[in-house]
Amino acid sequence: MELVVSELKKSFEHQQVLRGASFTFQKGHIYGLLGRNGAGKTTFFNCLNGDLQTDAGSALLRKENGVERPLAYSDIGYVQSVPIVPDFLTAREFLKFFLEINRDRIRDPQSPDAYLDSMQIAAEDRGKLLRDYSHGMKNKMQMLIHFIADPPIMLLDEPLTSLDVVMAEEMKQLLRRRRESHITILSTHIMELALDLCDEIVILHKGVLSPVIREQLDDEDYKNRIIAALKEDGNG
Amino acid sequence: MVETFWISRRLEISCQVNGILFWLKRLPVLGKKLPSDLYDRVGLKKLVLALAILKELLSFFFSKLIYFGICIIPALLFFRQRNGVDPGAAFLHIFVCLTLAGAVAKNEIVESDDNSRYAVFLLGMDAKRYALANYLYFLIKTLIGFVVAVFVAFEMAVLLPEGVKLSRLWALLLPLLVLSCKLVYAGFYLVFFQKTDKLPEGAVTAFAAVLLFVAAYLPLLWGWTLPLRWVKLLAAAELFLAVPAAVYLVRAGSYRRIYQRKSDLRISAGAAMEKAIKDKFQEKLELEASSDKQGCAYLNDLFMQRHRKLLRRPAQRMTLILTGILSALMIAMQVFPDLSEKLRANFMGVLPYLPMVMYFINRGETTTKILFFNCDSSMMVYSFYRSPQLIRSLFWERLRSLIRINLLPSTVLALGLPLLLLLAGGSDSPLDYLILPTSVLFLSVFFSTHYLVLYYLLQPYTQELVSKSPAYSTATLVTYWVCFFGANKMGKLISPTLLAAICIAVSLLYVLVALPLVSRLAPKTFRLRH
Repeated sequence: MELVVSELKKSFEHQQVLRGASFTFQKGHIYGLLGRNGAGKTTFFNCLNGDLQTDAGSALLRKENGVERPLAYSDIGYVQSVPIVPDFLTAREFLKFFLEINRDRIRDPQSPDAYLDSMQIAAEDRGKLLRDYSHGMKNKMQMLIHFIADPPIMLLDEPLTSLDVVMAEEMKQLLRRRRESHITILSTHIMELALDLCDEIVILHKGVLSPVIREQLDDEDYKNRIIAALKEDGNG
Repeated sequence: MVETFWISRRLEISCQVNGILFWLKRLPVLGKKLPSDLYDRVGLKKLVLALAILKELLSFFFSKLIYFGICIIPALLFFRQRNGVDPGAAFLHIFVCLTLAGAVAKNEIVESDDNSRYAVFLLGMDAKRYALANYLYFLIKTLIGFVVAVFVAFEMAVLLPEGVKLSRLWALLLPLLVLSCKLVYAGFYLVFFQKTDKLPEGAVTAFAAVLLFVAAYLPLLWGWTLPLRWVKLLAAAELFLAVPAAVYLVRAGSYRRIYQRKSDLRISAGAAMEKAIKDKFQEKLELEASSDKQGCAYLNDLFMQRHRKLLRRPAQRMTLILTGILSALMIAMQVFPDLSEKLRANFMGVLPYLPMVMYFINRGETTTKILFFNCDSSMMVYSFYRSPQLIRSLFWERLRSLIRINLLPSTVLALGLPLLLLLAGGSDSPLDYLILPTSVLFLSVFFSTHYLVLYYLLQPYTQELVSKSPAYSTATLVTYWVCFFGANKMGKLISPTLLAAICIAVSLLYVLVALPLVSRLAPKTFRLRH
């Protein structure tokens, strides 16, 4: 399975943010999307997610058998950097609702409590309103919903940055465990996270996507290559 | 000082010019045609700059004249006609009181606005020089404004009622009196801050200003004006005190601290306002709620239960109010038989006002805000929430709940109006008993549907609950206009029965057209705005 992005264009008034971005993201990889401030990473994610209408180009899902089709809303899980959960529901209620709505789509569904167990959300917290959850707990809940929905493509905007070290490590493990069967793209400003977690670095610079090839470089040299690529004028 | 003055003027004018350009860009049709590098276009900027300067010049010369025309002259005419107050004495009275009120209410020596924040904190200009340069400009502007106003009003005898004369000395004194009042209060302001480390901007100041404002007009009702001797004494005292006040202003050194304090105040006022908006649409959730429904019905059920204070209570209150009004009318009819006759004679004349009443009773727009703020803004982040099936079935659940909420007060009206008609002596046409409740109920369903449909088709809100959709604003404006003026106008042209028939038909037609439209389009339109 591949996510084929080709010639994606998006302008706001006369400012061209995406100028024909093309890239093929493959299943089994975690991609680190790097770009300077204002490079258009969020715009790119919003376009893939269908929140913004693109001006030109396409984003298609290519199946193993080579058949291509446009992205559907259910293909993508978009994990926001600030976890957003419905305040007025308890964790159990949110899960119950979610499971009922997606009854036909979820493979071997479990009970809400079994899912909450898997995320290590304590029994006494499950009946609390999500509004009263800590930042980290909200994040767990958000991730859990996306993991159960199990869309083939996961977009993560600045993940892990606001989590404590233990929680961040847990999340990393979860993402690595899911790597094989999914396309994961995460945008980040933290080079260490990108190098640690991602199989491939893609930069968004001057409105186009391009991979930074690692070859045999060690971390330090690779880092320098990435920075050099981000500094480039874009003419060469 | 002169340099500081020019820099701050230029800063203010650039902000104004960019503000005008920003406003131009936001205009519905024209805005789209303007280039995005608008702010860099020199030619256009010069034009707008000229406009800004023109505006400043106009306010220089005419603002005080307008002030005379609005705040003083109509009062002179009114009190002369009402209780024969001498316009000359009244003029001095109102002028002096308003001048004092103005000095207390708005102290310009340290103005905390965006311009001063840029100048003092971002550009690091000397706070004292900045304050004094601008204050001097303000004083000159005020002086010229009043000289022009006094000259036009008294020498040219424009605007003023006949017989109001002012001696040359007073004509000269009045503008100076304004300046000295401003200076004296500014001096007091700085001294107060120096001594107490507090700004004199609390409730006491506001109260004093209001009191002075009331004192400008209220005593005239009994024909009392300030005796001339008091005015002279006050003027002499103010003029005398203005000199040390001015010296103190030049010598004082606490300007930067005052700017800082005022800026903090402004930020906390902004935060308080934001909180007030949030409180209006967000309530303290109570955990108690349960539902044995499934899927969307389950979600909607929990939502309605946990937000019942916000959603149901206002409707319940409205129900009580309507019951009260209707009962009061019924009792009044028993006590004053005349009233029954009057009501009966033109009972159906109430129909043209019905859309307006229903507009008021309706909780549609507030409900959509509550839905967005507390549920959809967070849920829309999840892709499963975008499934067309879910959007449709949740829409129906909500529509049912909203209709139920709005029907609570509507039913009281639907039952109360025919009952009122019956008690007033009844109608000759039995059809009226049917028309009244049917129109009320149809309109109620119409309004419930209307706002929810608009919400689903246009989804105008951003996370901050600001409406970003011109289409939505236009639609609500049209709704308002039709309810307040359109129905009324039509009521004069056609019979009440026909108007009721139109109301019912339009409501029915609207619901029949809008609902399939939502099913079709909402999956595309119901999403977050970025």
